[in-house]
Amino acid sequence: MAREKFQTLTEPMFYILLTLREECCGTDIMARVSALTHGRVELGPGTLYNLLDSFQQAGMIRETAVEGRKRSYLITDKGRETLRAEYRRLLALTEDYKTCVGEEETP
Amino acid sequence: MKNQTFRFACFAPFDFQGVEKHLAAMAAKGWRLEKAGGSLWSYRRAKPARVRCAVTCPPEGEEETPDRLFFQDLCASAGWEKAADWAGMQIYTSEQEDPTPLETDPGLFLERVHRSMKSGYLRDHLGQMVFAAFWVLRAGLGSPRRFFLSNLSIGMFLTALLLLALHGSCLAGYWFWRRRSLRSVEEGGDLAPPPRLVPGPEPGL
Repeated sequence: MAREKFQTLTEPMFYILLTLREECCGTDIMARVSALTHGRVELGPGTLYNLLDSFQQAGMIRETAVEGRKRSYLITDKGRETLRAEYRRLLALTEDYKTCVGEEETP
Repeated sequence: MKNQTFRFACFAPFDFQGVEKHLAAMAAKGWRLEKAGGSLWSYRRAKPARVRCAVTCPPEGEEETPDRLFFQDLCASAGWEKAADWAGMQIYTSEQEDPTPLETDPGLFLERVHRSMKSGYLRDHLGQMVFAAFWVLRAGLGSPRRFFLSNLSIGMFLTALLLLALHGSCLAGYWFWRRRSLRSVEEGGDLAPPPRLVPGPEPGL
């Protein structure tokens, strides 16, 4: 069965929303995500464009400024709620792991 | 010494790996893509270099729309320069040693490719297949005696049959490729290479 869009977030989705808690222009998002994850999460420009477009259509981010070819974005309340829901989901996964495996084996 | 050369490039519009390898090999020989028009691509002479090439699906719309310019800027900030438009797609090159790939989520990319194919490649092939099927049926439903007495009718029938097979194979090729790519992406892999013997260029080019 197909997963509902944005019900869970992929890593690039999660980090884009996290980055956009502060206003940020499109071209800076890739650098910020890379810095935040120490290069672990790579965000290609094609993927970034597509996700920004999808987030905007879903009302999770909004365009704050357009200066020439430069566009800036900021997360909306709906986006913040999605980010919080994902954080809670990740915490629940972590707790389940600890319950099953035990604290002593947790790396 | 000539500064321009041409090559026949018969790639299916979803043969990204084929295009990327071809352009990287041409760049290594000192030829950079100038224009990717239909099956005949032109190249200009340049210093031989190790160049990365990538095909991507630009935002919908005409050339130079604000969305497309914004997309190009995003690509430029990752070290990719647009080389040419091709069959509804865009070809980018980078001389950086290890640039971030243009597409880092194959699932999302596959969906964008499918949207683009639906409004171009698939629509065109399906239209021409229906047209060819009409001619085949028209010949089949008429009087067989009258039909086979006319060389023109037989010629039209055979041409339509050939076109039907050609466009059918293009559609089947895409369908197989998409199915294999979906499976590969579900398993965490990349897009599949296109099936062999898929006729390349867009119809009418």
